[in-house]
Amino acid sequence: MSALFAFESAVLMTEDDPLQAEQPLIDVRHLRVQFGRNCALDDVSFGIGRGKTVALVGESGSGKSTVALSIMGLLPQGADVKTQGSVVFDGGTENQKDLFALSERERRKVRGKDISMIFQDPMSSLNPVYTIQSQICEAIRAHQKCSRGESKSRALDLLTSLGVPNPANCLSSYPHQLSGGMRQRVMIAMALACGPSLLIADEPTTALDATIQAQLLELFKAVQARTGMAILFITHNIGIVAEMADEVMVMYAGQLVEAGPTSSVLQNPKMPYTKALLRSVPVLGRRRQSGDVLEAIPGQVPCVSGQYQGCRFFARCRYAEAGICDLATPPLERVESAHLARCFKWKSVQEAAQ
Amino acid sequence: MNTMHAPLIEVRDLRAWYPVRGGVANRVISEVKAVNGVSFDVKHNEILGLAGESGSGKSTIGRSIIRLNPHTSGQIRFKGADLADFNSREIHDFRRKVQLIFQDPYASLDPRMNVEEIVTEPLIVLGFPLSKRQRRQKAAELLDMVSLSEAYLERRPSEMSGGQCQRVGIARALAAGPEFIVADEPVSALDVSIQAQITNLLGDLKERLGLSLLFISHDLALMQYLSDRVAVAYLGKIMEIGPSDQICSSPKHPYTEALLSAVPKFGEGHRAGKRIVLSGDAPNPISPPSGCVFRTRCPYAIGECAEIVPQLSERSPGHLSACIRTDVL
Amino acid sequence: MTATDTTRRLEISSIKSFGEYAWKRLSARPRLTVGCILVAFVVFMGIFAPWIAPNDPSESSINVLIGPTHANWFGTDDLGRDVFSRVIYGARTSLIIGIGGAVVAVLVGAPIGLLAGYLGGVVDLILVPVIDLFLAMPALVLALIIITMVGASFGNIVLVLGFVMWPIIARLVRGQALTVKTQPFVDAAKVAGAGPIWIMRKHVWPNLMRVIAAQFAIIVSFCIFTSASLSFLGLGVPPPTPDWGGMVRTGSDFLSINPLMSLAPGLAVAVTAVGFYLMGSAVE
Repeated sequence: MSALFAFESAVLMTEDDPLQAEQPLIDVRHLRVQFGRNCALDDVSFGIGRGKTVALVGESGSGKSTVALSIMGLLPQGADVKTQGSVVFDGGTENQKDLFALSERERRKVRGKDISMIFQDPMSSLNPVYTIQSQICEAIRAHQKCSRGESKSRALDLLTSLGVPNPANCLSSYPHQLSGGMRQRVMIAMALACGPSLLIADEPTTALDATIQAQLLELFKAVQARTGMAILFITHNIGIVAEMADEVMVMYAGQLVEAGPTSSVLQNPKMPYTKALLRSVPVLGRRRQSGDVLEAIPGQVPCVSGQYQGCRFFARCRYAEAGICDLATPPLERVESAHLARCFKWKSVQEAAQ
Repeated sequence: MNTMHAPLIEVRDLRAWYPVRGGVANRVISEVKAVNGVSFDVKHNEILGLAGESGSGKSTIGRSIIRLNPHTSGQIRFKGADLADFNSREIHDFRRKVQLIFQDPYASLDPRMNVEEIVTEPLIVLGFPLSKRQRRQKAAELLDMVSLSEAYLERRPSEMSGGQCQRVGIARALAAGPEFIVADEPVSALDVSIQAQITNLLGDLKERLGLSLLFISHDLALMQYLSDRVAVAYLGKIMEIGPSDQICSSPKHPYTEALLSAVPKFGEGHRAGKRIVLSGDAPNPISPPSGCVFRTRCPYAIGECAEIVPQLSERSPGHLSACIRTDVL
Repeated sequence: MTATDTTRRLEISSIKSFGEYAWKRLSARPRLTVGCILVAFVVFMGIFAPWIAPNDPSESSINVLIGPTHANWFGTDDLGRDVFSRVIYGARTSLIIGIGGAVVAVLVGAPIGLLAGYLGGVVDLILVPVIDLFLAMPALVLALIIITMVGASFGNIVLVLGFVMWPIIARLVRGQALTVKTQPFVDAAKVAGAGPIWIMRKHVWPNLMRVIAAQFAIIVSFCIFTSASLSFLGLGVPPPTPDWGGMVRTGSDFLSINPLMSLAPGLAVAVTAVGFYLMGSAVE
């Protein structure tokens, strides 16, 4: 059974299905995060299958980074940060862990070893006063007992496998001496140091040049083919989604609004937000004619507080219908075998289009 | 001189080198060749796209043209007249005619000013004889041009979203009635759906006001969409320049080809075609490679590339490329 | 948007009255709150001294050097003057000297720092060594030397304090101006055709106001402290003006008879200086 069905079950089934052959690598259920009264994530459920790449797409304020940080257990601590739901890692195996039930100490063991994360800006995640070698070795030795020499040769191997030219030289440099692309490779090396089975990549190429981005995308594919790890790829670039992801999830204002196999979602989007998002990006080969416009989504992402009624895209949606869309939150329903969308009107919109 | 038929902006062999100081007594130890011999024209009512990665010198080119950065040598002509020969009155006039739109919508607006003060600032410093009431009315008109309501006049940048700030930045650029605007990555700091709004606005303004734009961006798809012609910069030089459709569909320079293939694509037939992945990073602009500056990363480089500095030569009408390997592309 | 942004905005939006708003803002920043309370207390004393003080601060009596009584809370000094009233009136002297000195420091230091930072180049090359030279000399020693030369009077002390404090402001303003001038909005003004004077006045200066205001409060505390030290060394405000530093000095001869004569004004100096310092550093 594919990971997507597992994913679906997480959303659609209320009871766990004991017959389910394979549980996803990570199973996020009913995740809800509140900052004060602000609802950053509202009932987010999904699963990522082993070895799969899942893209998480959304604009700033959609909550996509909050998803990553909650899985990592790196949300800011504070009296007004409330987290509900469950995240089960490696369910159905002896390594099964309910992440939210773990102590901070046990959580740290998971971080880096089972799940690692890389960020958009490698410069701010690397410590400027240590050499690359000491930082990669630190990552290796955080979870494995090994000698200094061993960890150094492991670091060298890692950088070599990531296509770093002259890896020995790179090990002895400081972060500021490296280019942006190299720094991101070092971050990837640190993330891969302990062989995680899930890598969360939060906009890892956004700050980089196009040709360097292309290098890194190829690198992600190669590493994944070699290690079989799953990747949660957070991005706002639809092109990257199309190229990298097996499945895609679209977030809007703290909710999943559409999810499914990449080709199905990108070629046949059902939720009006996804439709508009796809049309608002110019693709190569398209030239503006006089009077031609890109489909822009008017207005802003709403700030959602506890008692929000109706569809969150209501105010910006061209298909919105008062009396239906603004009264209740639409459910995330199945529109095709593995394709889910959150819209009351997807059927009528589709029929009208035909 | 026939100013009507001269291009609006002519750039000839522009160089902008910046000293690198260091060592004992803060001597000049080397020079960053940010822009190293660049020539192109911007015609009337045309959007010229300037594509390139970091270190290509694309922002420096834009800032040199509007005299925000000093340049080392080369000519910039505005309506056929050399900027270097301008007297103070003509410079004042030139200031009214050229403007800049910035990348960072928040940082380019003074946080201590409200929107009215921001958009009317050019009117005041350029000495438009307007009363306070006329200025307010003009500010409202400018906001209307960028589809913001009068209610925004009293707002401060911190009270607006990125897209709204960028609209205010554009309104300010329009205040003095410019003919030429340099837009330096005007949408890359914005969310995808907001990018489309601003892109539409720029295209619309070009048509309504008859503006010419130098549109600086690293996003080739966006550039092809908006620009009439595209110039591709690499390490302070122009590699290729021509009509945007031609550049994007049949590039004549290996760098353009690699840049296009690096764009992650979606839509019909995505994942088709082999990607050209360039190895390594762009060289340091302090000591660019000899000959063709792209040869160190070029998949087609041959021995001669290290010796011959390729000149822009016409490959088809209006489409120029600086590459000696005319046999491969 | 980060979590703190969100929570802060929420806090503000859920507030009903101004009092509650002010309290929420202040309780979130204890340094600022304590600083403001201390400064407000001293300023109140200074302004309403004639109503608060039970006696005339310069009126002598035959009861010299008595300890605390109901009539004289802090006792009397060697000339039979009420120490409590003199401490209260002393707030005026200290505030005027402190604020006056800081005003002079800002008037001298801010333009110099602004010119050095914004114009850069040769102007900067000339001004920076001058600023550094003054910074290198201990303020108190420099003030002592100049006061000895020009003589101790109320006006001279204010001028001299301003003169020894200006480099602190100048260096700060220069650094800030260097940062502000690289901001894109300054480029935007240049593109709009604005000259350096317009940009300094309309863009750089308003964006410096906050740091200057913060540093101003800190300089006030330095000035109060330095003027007290000067007075203690006998180069302060001439008598009979009630002055805390001078009172500490006179009182030190009679510590065993009426210790409050020294301790009360000393404590007043500390409270005022700390109050201004907390206020300034919290804003900074």
